[in-house]
Amino acid sequence: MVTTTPDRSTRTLGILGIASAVTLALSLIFIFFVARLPSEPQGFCAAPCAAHRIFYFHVPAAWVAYLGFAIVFIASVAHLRTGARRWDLLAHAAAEVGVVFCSLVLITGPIWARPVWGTWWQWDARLTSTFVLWLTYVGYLFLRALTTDPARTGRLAAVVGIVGFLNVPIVHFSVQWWRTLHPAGPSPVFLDRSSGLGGQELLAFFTALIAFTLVFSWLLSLRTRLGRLSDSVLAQELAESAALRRSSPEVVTT
Amino acid sequence: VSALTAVVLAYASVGIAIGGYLTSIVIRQKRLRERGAELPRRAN
Repeated sequence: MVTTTPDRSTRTLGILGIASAVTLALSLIFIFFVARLPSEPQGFCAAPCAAHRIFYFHVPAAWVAYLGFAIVFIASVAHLRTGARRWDLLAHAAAEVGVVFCSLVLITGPIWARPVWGTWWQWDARLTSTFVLWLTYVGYLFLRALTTDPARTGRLAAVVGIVGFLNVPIVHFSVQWWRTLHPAGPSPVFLDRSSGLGGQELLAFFTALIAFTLVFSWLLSLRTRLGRLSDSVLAQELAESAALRRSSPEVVTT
Repeated sequence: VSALTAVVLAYASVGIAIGGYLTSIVIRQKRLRERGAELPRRAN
């Protein structure tokens, strides 16, 4: 008798989902009840500026967007080298999830900027390059949706995924290369630059960073599984249509 | 927009975006399953 084990990936996905929800809830507690607001005014926002709390979700959203696009880059290179469908599915899933988080960066940023800068948007280097990054990957998803041959789509999309990633370092270092309104935090290049955050604020920030990484991994796994399910339907429908053609060849006109 | 309104808007947008995307995945998965989609299961 052939028995089947419970789907292990479903269990792993469940655990990942619960871990994401718990960490996200914990990060909200730290952000709203533990982290202190800056004692100095933030631009037009008088101290204590509540808008500072947006930073705790804005920066992790940017980090996971970068992570998503880095996965698109790696999976696209692997797909072009091996031609394996699984890399193409991973690249597609990572691009979609990356676009969701990049959209959040572009939404939460202007919401923070309005009370602090006095304007929703400035065409400065960081904001403009992030917008171009978002447009690139939205274009990538449109390209995938508009072409019908899976093999050709995979190769074309892989090229866009590789070229599009070149903008990520430009976005990240734009605050150091050009004069921008956007605040520049500490980076591997400028380790001496202080984040201005105390222990309680760093706890809230890193918990949010872990929470966003877990949520990203969960969504990526779900989306990759969706791609595999879609492939299984396509294969099934192709097999059915081939069987139909074999059984009644006169029906086929093309 | 006051700082407090900005915080509410920002956190609400994060919740709506992640929740909305998750719902879209679940709906698409349900539709595929209705069309007979199956992931290969490991046999003992």
